[in-house]
Amino acid sequence: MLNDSNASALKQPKVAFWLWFGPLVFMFLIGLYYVGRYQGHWAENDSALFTNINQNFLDSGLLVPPSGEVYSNGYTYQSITAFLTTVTGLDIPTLQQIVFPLLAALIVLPAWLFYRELAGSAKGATITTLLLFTQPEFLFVMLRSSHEKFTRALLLLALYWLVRSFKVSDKPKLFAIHIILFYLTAYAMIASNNLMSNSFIFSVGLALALGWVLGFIRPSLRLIGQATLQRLTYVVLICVALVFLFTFYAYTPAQNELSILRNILDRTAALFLDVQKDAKNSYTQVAGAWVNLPVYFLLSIANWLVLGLSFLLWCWQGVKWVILGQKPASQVAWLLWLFYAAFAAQGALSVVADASGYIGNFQNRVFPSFSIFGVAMVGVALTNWQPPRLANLLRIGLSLGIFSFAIFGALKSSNEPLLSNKWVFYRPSEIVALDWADQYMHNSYIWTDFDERLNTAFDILGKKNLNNNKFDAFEIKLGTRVVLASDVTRLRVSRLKRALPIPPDSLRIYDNGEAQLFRFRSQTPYQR
Amino acid sequence: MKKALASIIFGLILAFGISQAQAAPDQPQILFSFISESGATLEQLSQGAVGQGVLLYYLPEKGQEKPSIAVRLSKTANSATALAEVYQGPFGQEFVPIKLEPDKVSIEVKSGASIKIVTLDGWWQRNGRPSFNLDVQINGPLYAMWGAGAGYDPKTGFTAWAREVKPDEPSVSVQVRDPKQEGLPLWDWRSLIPPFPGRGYLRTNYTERKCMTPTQVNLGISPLWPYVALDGDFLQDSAVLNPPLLVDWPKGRLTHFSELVTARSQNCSYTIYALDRFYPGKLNLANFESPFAFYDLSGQGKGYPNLILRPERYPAEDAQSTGIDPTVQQGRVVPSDIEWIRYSWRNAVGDKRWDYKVDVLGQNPYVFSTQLAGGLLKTDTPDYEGYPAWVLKQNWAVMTFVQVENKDYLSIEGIYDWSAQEAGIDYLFGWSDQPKPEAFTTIDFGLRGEYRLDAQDKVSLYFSPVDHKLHLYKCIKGVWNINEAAEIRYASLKNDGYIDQWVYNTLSGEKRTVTSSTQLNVTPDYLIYGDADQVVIRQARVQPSLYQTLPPATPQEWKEGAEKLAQNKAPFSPTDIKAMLEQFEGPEIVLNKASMRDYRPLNGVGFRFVLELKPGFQGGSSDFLDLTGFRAGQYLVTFTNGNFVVEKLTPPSVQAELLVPNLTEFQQSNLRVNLRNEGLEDALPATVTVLANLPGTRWQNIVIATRTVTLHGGEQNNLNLYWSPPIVGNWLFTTRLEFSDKKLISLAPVAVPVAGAKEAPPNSILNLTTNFYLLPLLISALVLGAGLGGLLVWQRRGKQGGSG
Repeated sequence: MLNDSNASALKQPKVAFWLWFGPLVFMFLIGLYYVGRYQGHWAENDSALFTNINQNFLDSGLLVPPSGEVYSNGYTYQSITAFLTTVTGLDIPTLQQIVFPLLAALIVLPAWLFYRELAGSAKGATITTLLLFTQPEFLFVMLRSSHEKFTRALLLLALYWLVRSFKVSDKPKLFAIHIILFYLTAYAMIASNNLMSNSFIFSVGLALALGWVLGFIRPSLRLIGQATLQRLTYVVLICVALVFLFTFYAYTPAQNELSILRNILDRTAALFLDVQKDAKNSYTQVAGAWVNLPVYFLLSIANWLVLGLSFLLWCWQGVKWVILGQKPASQVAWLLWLFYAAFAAQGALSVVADASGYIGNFQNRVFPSFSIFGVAMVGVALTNWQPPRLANLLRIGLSLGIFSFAIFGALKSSNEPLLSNKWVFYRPSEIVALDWADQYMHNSYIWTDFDERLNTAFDILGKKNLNNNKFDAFEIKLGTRVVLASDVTRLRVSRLKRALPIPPDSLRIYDNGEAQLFRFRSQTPYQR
Repeated sequence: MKKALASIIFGLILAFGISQAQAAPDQPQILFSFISESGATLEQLSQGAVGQGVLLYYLPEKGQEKPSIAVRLSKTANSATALAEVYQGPFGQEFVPIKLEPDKVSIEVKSGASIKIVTLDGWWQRNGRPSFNLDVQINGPLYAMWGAGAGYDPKTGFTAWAREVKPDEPSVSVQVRDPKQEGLPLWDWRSLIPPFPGRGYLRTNYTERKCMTPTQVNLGISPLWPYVALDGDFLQDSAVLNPPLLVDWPKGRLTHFSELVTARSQNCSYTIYALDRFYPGKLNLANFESPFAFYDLSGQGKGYPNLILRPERYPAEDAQSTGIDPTVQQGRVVPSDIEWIRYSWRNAVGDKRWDYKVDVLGQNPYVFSTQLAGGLLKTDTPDYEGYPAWVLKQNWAVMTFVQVENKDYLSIEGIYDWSAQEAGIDYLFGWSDQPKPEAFTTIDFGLRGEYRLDAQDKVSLYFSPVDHKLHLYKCIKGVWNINEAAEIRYASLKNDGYIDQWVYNTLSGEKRTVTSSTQLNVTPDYLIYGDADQVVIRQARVQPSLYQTLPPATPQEWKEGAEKLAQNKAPFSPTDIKAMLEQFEGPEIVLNKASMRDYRPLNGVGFRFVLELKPGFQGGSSDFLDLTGFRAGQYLVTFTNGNFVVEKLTPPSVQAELLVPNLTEFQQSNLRVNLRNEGLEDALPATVTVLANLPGTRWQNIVIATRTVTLHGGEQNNLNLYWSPPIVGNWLFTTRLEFSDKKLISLAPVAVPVAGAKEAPPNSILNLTTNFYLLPLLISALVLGAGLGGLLVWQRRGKQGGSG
């Protein structure tokens, strides 16, 4: 049992409309900017991949299509997409490029509800929610169109049901409803992505274990009642069982990813740390991905501030509670401390896994999870910290901070091309050139750009190669003899400090004013 | 009970006799017994009677209570078929656990039978002929398909897929048919059942007998159930059909279900080894060895073919094609159809020896619908009868020709050497600018090989009157690797389709250094012979070919081809270059104390070579050339426009110049190297390397390009090299020529400034990414959103909202 008075906990004062609606509008405007910045002409890897997956799902009408792209970690996102496209009549590319970034605003609601439980006030919920949605890494995964938008929303909602259920434990009907809602949400989350969900459950289990160990050492930290502890243990075990049932029985493609991993260590890392094969190394990408390092740090300042402040707060609280033996102010505060520790540990283990040979994707995957609790730690502290002399200063600083972080976050998550070298936009003329190449060439390799920019654009539009052509990117591959050059790629030449791989004697075989295709001169009879 | 006892005794006697007869000294002795469970004898069951019983095969020292394998035979009333279930012990147990009762055997193997054989005839053996109308289901590991790795090793067990299947997992299905009940099956179709995604395992084996080979049928250990061999292999021996079931007797492990229609060890067969599984009711695109065809053009074969066509083939975009050359493919499938086929034949009745091979590489799609398995299956492969003609009618990109000259080439799959595929599939697909002729620089001892690149032509052979041998029409070069100490190199220097140079080299040392050469060059009007001490120029017209021909595709062509070869056999040793010259008569000049080198044709009818006159040279003259008064020294002999010109040789003098245009950072530019040999003598092949340096930086010795060039005497060669400077600065370019004798020429560095590329202007980026009129709205949305965030914090900082 939680120590808080359940009666008082349930007594919800009337909440000002703007406290929850404000963050929702805030996020909607950020989403509007994200879509409007490139007039909908944006694409990135996972969003493009999910276009194919969703289209295949819709075309087959089956949970596991017999052929084509199948998402091996879950089906929630495909199901939602199929529902929306059927109800609205919108095609999948429109949903992916325009509707889903705007729908990110809805995730504000479960986040706000959860933070209200943690912070203990609507005001705290608003500050914490705004902090969360100014974290560029979190913002990026919310805005783009992949399962992650819904996985994390479901995660926040599951946490909300869980925490609320403790507060209504003396009202059997309400309690039962909350438990049912929790497990339904948990299953939906698992069905969205089993690995990400399992890593989350692992962290919850880790938090519980840590709480138990510290409570054993320090009696003052035995804040969680036996019944609550027991229930939380059941929650972890049942959720693990749900993941198991989902992975091995309900949705068998979920086994694929595990089966192709090299060894048991890899599989363990995938299950508990949410690192995945073939992910891009985020650390090594940092330096080259932005016009310079100061810009990168400026745009990421919200990340670093939350990371640093939350860590300091966690240490300070740890010293007070664990070393000095003081009692935490509330059970919720103690739970938050434990969750933070568990997610930080998961992050640290992921970094170790990355460094030990796994290609790292901590920044993209674990950091958004960690930031949910990192901002909670900072948000709750800011809410509770009311120094009379510094009140105005703090108020100004915090308001300006949120204002700046929101702009920086939007610029970073949208890969603003004035600052970023990783461009995610495309010009319709470039797609026209690719269409032409694909229509009139056969069995050809066509170089499109210095990275996957145009390949993902082609994919997110739901286009398929018609004549066994392959779009090539990055370093030009052996056998590629056709190169696309556009106004955009020419701008990238000076930005990336790389040359277009077009020999001067190449033949220009297509030109639409903005994009051209060049074919290398044949050196052999087989290159005609 | 009496019948059961009688069966046991009968079986023991029979097995003892046979195993004694068959067992080699190191072979175990195998006994078998039959326990009738229904009262029917083994003979009755074998003949097709209704009933049930168990055959136990065992080592004498273990006794029938611990059989190595057990076979339950059964046939029910009203059933046209009979069933045999073959059991082996669980893994790790060297016998089949059974409970033996007087008229019943309980086989206690939880995983069930490892092999189930159904005879559609309803009987197993009649009149000494086994039933070969069989449906066979194999469960668990067993070498039951060609290509199941290295087979079975008693110490390490199975390899490849056979190692991966579980004991009770269906692994292979086999259908064998003998429609005329001849006791010799007509076709044998096997499918690998587990999908093994991403693995390059053979999933289809199909072999069809195409003519009758006199074959002895071995009935094995238990002739009344004639499917268990004492020993053997997956492949059948020639002219013998052994039982298919092989067992590691001491370990009690079933090891093989051998081929029942042999691909290789009979006169004629049509085989498919495909990486994909075939299914009825569709046109199966056959990859890999499809079709592997064996022919007896002599009509007198005794168990071996004398023509084999072995392809490796992949349809366009075949997912299985990524492993052809993983290094160059980098995971890519083949963009178009591709096949390479070796076409080997013997000029005698098939005896595992081979005389000739043509190997072709090309992109000819299979556009057929060939029926297999009595109409059960369809493939896109050419049919058996039309396959050789189809190969000879297609255009091929790369061809090689191999003749076995001075060795016995024993093989059951034809001649392996010099596969045309070695020229490189990357070249064929246009991925690479250069083929790989280096694969054809040498060949095994006793073989002669020739190759042709960029052909896109049909296969054609011709018979040369010079050496009296078959050659590949339009070949570029060739070599006969006679032995460790000698070789003959061939070349078609005029590139008119015919060999015009024969060079016999004597070799020494491990590196096989040429110690002396004798050469014969054939021009339209002259034969030019040179050895270590003599040069002969004989005026004679030699027709390039006595006759054109093709590899044999029919018995008639084979017969005629062999006869023509016999009729035109060389009357001299095939390595005697001088004898090749002496066949032709005409005015000549014989230059003793002279040698020649660097022969090459000029403009079709002309030629040139370096004549080296040694001390003691006495001069010489003829109607067409007068060398009277010439002294020892090196001369260039040129024949153009009907006249010989002899002039003092001047050494190669290579002049080089590097021209660098204005360069801009990240822009590809054309750097040109002009090369000229101002001497009369041809320069040795040289490697030209252009290096770029930016002094004081890490950009040192950047290789812009490396090319190999040949610089003929008095000729020019220009190279265009493309490069994009990686950074602004005053670059220095150096050019180096390294000749094959290691002599080095370095040009003085050329300094060229590289201008900076224009930065991407922000307004251009904005223009490309957004609309001018939309920009204020976007900025407003962003500022509004951010402002709202700030405002929410500002307003609520002092006012507590509802507490939860």
